[in-house]
Amino acid sequence: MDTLDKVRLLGAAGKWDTCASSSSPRKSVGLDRVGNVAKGGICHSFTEDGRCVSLFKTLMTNDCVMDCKYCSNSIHCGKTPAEYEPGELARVFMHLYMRNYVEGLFLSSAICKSPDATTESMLDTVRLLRGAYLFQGYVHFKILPGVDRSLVKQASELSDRLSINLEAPNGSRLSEVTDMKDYNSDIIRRQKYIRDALPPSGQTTQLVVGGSDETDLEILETAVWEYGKIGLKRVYYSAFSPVVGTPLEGKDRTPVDREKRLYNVDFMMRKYGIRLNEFRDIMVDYNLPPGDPKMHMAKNRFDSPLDVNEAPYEELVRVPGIGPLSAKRILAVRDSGCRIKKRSELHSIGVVLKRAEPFLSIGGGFQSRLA
Amino acid sequence: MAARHRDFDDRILQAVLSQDDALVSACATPESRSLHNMHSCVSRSLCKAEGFTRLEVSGNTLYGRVELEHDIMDLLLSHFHRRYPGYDVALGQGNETFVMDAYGRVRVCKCGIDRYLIENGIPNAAEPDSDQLFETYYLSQCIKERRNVGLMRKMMPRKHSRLNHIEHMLNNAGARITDF
Repeated sequence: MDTLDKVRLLGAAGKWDTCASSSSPRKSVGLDRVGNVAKGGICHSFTEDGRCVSLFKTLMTNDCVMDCKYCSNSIHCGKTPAEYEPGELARVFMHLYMRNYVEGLFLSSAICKSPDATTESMLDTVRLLRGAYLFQGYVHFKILPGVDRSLVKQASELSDRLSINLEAPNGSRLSEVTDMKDYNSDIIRRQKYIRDALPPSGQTTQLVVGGSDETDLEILETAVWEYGKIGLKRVYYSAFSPVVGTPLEGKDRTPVDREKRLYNVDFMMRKYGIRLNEFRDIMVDYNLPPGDPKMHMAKNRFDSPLDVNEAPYEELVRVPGIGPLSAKRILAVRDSGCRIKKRSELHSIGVVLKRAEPFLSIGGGFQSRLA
Repeated sequence: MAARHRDFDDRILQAVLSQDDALVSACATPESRSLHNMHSCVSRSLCKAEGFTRLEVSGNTLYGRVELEHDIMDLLLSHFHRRYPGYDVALGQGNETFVMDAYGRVRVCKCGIDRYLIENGIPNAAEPDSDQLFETYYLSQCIKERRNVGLMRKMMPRKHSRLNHIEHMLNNAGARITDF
């Protein structure tokens, strides 16, 4: 099989991993090197689904021994098996990196033979990049369920970020989609190995939304636990999409809006400091209702408009159209002794008036009906 | 950063300098908001240029073509110099070529990139499979069930889509699929 066919097959097999972040605090030293890590993510292209292409995202092999029912690489699926040699993958990646097509490498794999054997092959690739090619750019290394602790440590020394996919919010839900993975020993324990290995850019994970019958509350409770106990940088949510040839091909596709609502809530929990309990209050049958979660929460919370010159920060960030930055700017204006008197001042600050106005009182006036 | 914007006017800066610091930092005046917007615009333009400029490799030289709206050529050259130390970086814009050598020194040549390469004896390194490799990878990444060409068009300027060889997709694609 020629290299272009491998790029096509293994790139397509790896596209379901959604992480596109490419920043790292690691410093690239010396002049005898190629590449560095950027402070913030740089996108090199956008696909037809609107997603950023920043990393060269690929599997080492798609020939898997696992039985995950949602996955196109699983043992259930008839597929054309493909596998990179470490030297071949390193060459392809460097060819793209030198021409500024990609920002870094995202290396994952199906589990061929055993997690340890597959991980060794992946590590050989990254060692070639760091050693022979003197590559000091970004590498995201996917840890495979059940892999040995020593290999996790080696991966952490060679890579910027590590991750292992949870796929489901708990062991009971995971057992609905696979019989071969143990949630606690194969996945959670590996997350703790990664945590203890201290990769420079931390650890992330991904959950399939709608692959089993999990509720949004289960997913968000898991996310809260992961951020608190495991210390994850990010949890990614991937809406389930049935794949032909898998046992779940007849299952309904999960609407992308559900994924978007989970990201909205995740962002508000992490960046706004809003606790999960407040989102429980707006849930219907343990799921977030259709529409914007913040709007639902605001309608539930505010029975009268807020005075923009009196409301504390915690109330302001709960108003749709006002985020942490705008709320801080409002407080900064008030702290300087000024009062906000006009809509145009809020607009200048960055408040999205169309969303915020129904909940605010500006200069004594307010919109008489909530939107 | 705002001063690099093509529409920057020193009068805006003078107006902002006479305003209250708290109001300026909160962007609470039209002038400070305008300055902030210019800053954001230039930063976005630089980010796009860093992401979408494609380079070719010929020996110790990396070269490419750019179309920059704002005065950010030095920043772009510095970015590539940090990324590829040890290489000369030559970026052609119109009838000028800007070159940063391996030591970080910049010179401007009053000729287009093609003539610069010829005059400096740099062989044309364009490999026929270079674009095909990226296009093969690029096409493998789309999840067609999530197709949202409107978002793609919003995020990727037309001029960059040419560099990514996907202009035909933007021209022929339909509206957003809303079948969810």
